[in-house]
Amino acid sequence: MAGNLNKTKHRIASINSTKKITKAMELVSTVKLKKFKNVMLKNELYSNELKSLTCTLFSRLDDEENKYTKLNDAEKDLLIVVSSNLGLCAGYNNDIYHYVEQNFDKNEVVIIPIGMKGDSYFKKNGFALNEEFVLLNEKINYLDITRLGKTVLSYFENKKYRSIKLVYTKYVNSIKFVPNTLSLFPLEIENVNDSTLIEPLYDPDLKTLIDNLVPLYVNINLYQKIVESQVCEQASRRNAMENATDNADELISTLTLEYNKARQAQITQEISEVIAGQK
Amino acid sequence: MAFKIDIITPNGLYKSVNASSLTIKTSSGYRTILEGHTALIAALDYGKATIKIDGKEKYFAIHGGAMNIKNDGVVLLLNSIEEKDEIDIERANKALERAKERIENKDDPNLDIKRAELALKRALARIDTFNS
Repeated sequence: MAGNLNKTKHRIASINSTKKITKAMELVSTVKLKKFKNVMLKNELYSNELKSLTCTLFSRLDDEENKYTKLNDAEKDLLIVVSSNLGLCAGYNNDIYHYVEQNFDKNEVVIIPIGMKGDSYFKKNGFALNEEFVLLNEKINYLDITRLGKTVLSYFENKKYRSIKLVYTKYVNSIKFVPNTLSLFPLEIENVNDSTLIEPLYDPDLKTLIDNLVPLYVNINLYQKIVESQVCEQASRRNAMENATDNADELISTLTLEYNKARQAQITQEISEVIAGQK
Repeated sequence: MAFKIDIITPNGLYKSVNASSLTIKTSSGYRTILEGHTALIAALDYGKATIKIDGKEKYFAIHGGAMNIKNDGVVLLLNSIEEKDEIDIERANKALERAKERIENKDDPNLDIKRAELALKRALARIDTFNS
């Protein structure tokens, strides 16, 4: 009886210490989540302006002159897949893997993984990889991302791949994240109904302007989506840790009840033994 | 006689000012924008930007981007911007020396000439702004 009592006591202690860890991780990811959310919001202004500007310019360009919205004549597609570097973030990485496997054919894609988890998963499953940018999302910094943007643009201009897509996680709300694809090349251009009738002046000319803006547009898209994925990762981790902490609380209360019952039973038994001995 | 200028970088809104004139280096050279300018979309080069606010001129070093002049004001989309007093002139001078050296050593097989040229342009833009 006494052995059982001690065992329960030890279990409660060990769950308590695990709970401390999950609680701390929850706090850490909450802070990181806030930080990345802030970055995402700050960046929105620039990316929206740039997007509307690029779309306006494209809407004025003839289709024939426009090389950016056509598929290249190559066999494979290039996928840039954003996953996490650390684990313990619930289904975040798995969702991405499933999404990639469901939507793309293994033999027709080359993957640039961003994040170590995705790198090892795709390597294990026999995808063709380009591992130059695995650690890009360890410390997110606009300059590093422009390096990726430059590489991607040169791939497109050398017609190395048919199309170039970014697979990221879209932030819907704090508990809902969905894997999503953004086509970098050919460029996804929304049609804008330009209400201003006057054709603006261009300096130097429309085509050169577009050539100048496309790299910026690609960079900001990459940056924005990688940050968004990071927000999802942290939110996902925070939710996972929150659940773990809640579970720990529940377990502790059940075990404490069990412990108290056993202790009470032991006392009752001892009393009845003492009374029995008196007679 | 003032118009609005929004300066936007990937890190958010840098500044929103009411200015009476803006002089900036576009891909075809320096342009001065006054109120009532016609709609213009321009690619920006590395260089000095001068913004006149309440009769006082303020100088900024800019490193490429785009300018969109609309009915309601000017939007500057910049990779980065530094005001005159934010510039570290010693660092810029050193960067200038380094870039020049690299460009002169044309035989070096590791030379990324484009990168060296961009570094040179950045340094020149900073020095030009600092000396205004």
